Amino acid sequence: MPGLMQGVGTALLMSVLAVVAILLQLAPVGLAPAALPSPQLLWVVVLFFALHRPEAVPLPLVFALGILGDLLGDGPVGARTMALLLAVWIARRYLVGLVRESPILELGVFAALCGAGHLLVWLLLRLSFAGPPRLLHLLLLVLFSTLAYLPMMLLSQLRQRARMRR
Amino acid sequence: MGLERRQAHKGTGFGLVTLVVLCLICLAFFVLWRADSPRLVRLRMAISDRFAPTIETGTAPVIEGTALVRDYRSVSELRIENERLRAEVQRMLAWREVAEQLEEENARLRALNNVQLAPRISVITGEVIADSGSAFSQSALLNIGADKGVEDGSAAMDDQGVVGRVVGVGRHTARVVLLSDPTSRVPVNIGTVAQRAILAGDNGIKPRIEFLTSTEGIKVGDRVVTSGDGGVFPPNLLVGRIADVGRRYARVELAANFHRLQFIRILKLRPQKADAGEAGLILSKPDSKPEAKPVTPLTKPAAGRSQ
Repeated sequence: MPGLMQGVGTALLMSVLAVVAILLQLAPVGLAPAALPSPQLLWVVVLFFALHRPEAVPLPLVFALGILGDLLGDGPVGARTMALLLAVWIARRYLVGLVRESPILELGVFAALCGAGHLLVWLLLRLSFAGPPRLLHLLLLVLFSTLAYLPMMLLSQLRQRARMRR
Repeated sequence: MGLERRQAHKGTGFGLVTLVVLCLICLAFFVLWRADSPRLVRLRMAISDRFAPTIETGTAPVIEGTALVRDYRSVSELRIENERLRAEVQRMLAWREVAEQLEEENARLRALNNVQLAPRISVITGEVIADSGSAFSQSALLNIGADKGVEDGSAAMDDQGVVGRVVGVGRHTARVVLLSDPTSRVPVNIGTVAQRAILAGDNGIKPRIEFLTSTEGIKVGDRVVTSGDGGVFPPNLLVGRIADVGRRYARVELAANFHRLQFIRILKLRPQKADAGEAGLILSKPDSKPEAKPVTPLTKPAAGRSQ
C-alpha cells in the first residue's frame, strides 16, 4: 500500500510537471520562421520519469498528457503522442537498467528515444504529404531537448548522492 | 516462481494491448487532423479557450524575460517614450472623432447619390499568447475570438505586411497559421507584371511561389501583394518582396516582422454603410424643393506636441 501511494504521488508530480512543461513550450518566443526550435519539455519530463520511476508512468496517463499537448499546441494531433507512447514503452521495458550505469548513457538514451520518436512523426507527415519540417530543424530540436534533459538528470544525481550520504 | 513468471507475462501482454489500442486512437486523431476535420478544430479551439488564461499566466514569465533580454533600455528612455506615446494617443483620439464625423457625412452623401462602394475593412487587434509549440507547424494563438468578431479565414497582418490567416476561432481565442507554415497557401500578384501565382509556405524563412507560368519579367525586389482571388484575402495587401528567382520558381522575403510578433491585426470585411438620414436630394425631383442641410462644422484637434 505505501508503494502504491508513492507511485500515485509520483504520477501526480509527473502530471503537474508535464502540464507546466506544455505551457512553457507554448511561450511565443520563436515565431519567426528562422527561429530555433523549442525543446520538447513534455518529452523531457515524461521520459525522465519513465527511466527513473517506470511504475509511475502508466500509458493512459502519457496518452492524456500527449493529447493535451497536441491539442493546446498546433501541428499533427496524435502523431507526437503516439511517438511518445512508443518511446515510453520502450524505455520502461528495456532501458531502465541501462540508464543506471552512467549519466552519459542516460543522456544518450534520451537523445536516441527523442530523435527516433520525432523521426517517426516526420515520416508520418511525409507519407501523408503534410509538409514536414527540415531534418536540420529536427536535429536541432533533439539537441535542445537533450540539453533541457541535463538539469533534470543532474538534479536526480545530486538527490541520489544526498540519499547515499545519509 | 512459475506463477510470478505467468503474472509478469500477463502484465506485459496487457501493457502491449494497451499500447496498441492507444496507438490506434492516436492514429485516428492523426487521420482526423490530416482531413481537417471541423470537429477536431472545434475541440482544439474549445480547449484553447479553456486554457487561455492559464497559458497567459504560464508563459508570462518567459515572455517578460525574453523581452527584457531583447529590449534592454535605460529607465529614462522608457520614461521619454512613455510620454511621447501618451501624447500620440491623445492626438489619435481627437482625430478619431473627426474621422467618424467625416465618415458619417460621406456615407450620407454617397447614399443620396446611390453610390455602391467596395466593402470596407475593419480591424480587430489581438495579442499573441502562444505559438505552435513544435517545429512541425508555424502558428500563433491570439487572445481574441468570436466574442470580438473574429471570423474563420480572415487575413492577419502586423503593421508591415500579411502574417497569415485565421484557421480556428474559439469564443475567446483564435489561431493564426503563418505564411511560412507548410499548409499556408495565399493567392498573390507579383510586381509590375501582375502575374498571378500562389505563395506556399515550406517551414522556411523565404516561402516559395508556385504555379508560375514563367519567371520572365520578375526580378529581385518586386513587390508581392495579395491578389484577392478566391475571396480569402482582401487584394493588394503587402506580402513581401521577391528575394530569389529561378527558372520556374521564385522565393519571397516576407514583409511582416516575425521576430517581434506581439500584436496581430485581424482584417474583417464589412460593407460600406449607407445612411440616408433626413437630408434632401442632391438631384432633386422636379416638383420638390431640395432642403438645405445644415453641415456640422468640423472641429480641428488641438495642436499637440510635435514629434
